[in-house]
Amino acid sequence: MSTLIGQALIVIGLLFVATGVYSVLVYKEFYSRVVITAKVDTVGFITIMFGLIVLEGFSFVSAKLLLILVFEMLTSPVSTHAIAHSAYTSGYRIERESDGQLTQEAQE
Amino acid sequence: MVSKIAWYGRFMALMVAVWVVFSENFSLQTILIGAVASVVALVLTNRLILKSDYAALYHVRFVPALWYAVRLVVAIYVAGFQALARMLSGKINVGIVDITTELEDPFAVSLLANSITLTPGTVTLVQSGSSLRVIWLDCTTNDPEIAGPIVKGPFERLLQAALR
Repeated sequence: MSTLIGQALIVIGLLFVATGVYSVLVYKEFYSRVVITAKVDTVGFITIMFGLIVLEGFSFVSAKLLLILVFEMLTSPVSTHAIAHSAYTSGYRIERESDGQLTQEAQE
Repeated sequence: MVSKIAWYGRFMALMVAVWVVFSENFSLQTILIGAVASVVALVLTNRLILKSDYAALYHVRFVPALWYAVRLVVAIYVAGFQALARMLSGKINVGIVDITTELEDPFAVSLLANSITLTPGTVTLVQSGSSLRVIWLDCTTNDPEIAGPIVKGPFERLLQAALR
């Protein structure tokens, strides 16, 4: 049973990652891509790790996986922030049309 | 003083637990080595790296912090499914909004910024004092008063409880 749940979680995680990758290719605006990549990092990665922990059961390996998950949750937002912050300070801005839809970046 | 000793005790227990997991060996010898290593690490960090005392700088309450982590994972999933639906339907409306927080401690503000970035749909751009500039996937308003509670969710209140 735990094997089935673990594998199901890994598949769900991979689906999240696949959707993220698809969206990164579809959306052209820089900040949309940053936010979507942050999603791939968090939801996809956490689900895959939970799947691996369930597959492994109660052991030292699953405890290590949990520690990896904690370290990832602490460091991943920092890297996302660094990329977004450097783009913002470099002058990338969001432009809008009158109907509120995104059109293009301020600096191509 | 008692609470300080209790804080160091709990923190040492956490470090020993991490040491045991890394060693993959639950024995008295491993626990003792872990305890000695954690004391050495705490003393060296206190004396050489930190400007103030460890317990004073990182006054984390363990049970509320654990509850905070659980709520964070739940929030990540709720926001994840919402962002997924939005991305697939093409209804994304990215905007940059300024929010302010009642948290004053830089450590707490950093944790709040980290949590906001972890929830899919928002990424912290700039942090200056108690104000944060955030990219928001579903930007419905630019008013900091209205956007603040939506972006921050329950995290600000939970952090106040965990870091009191």
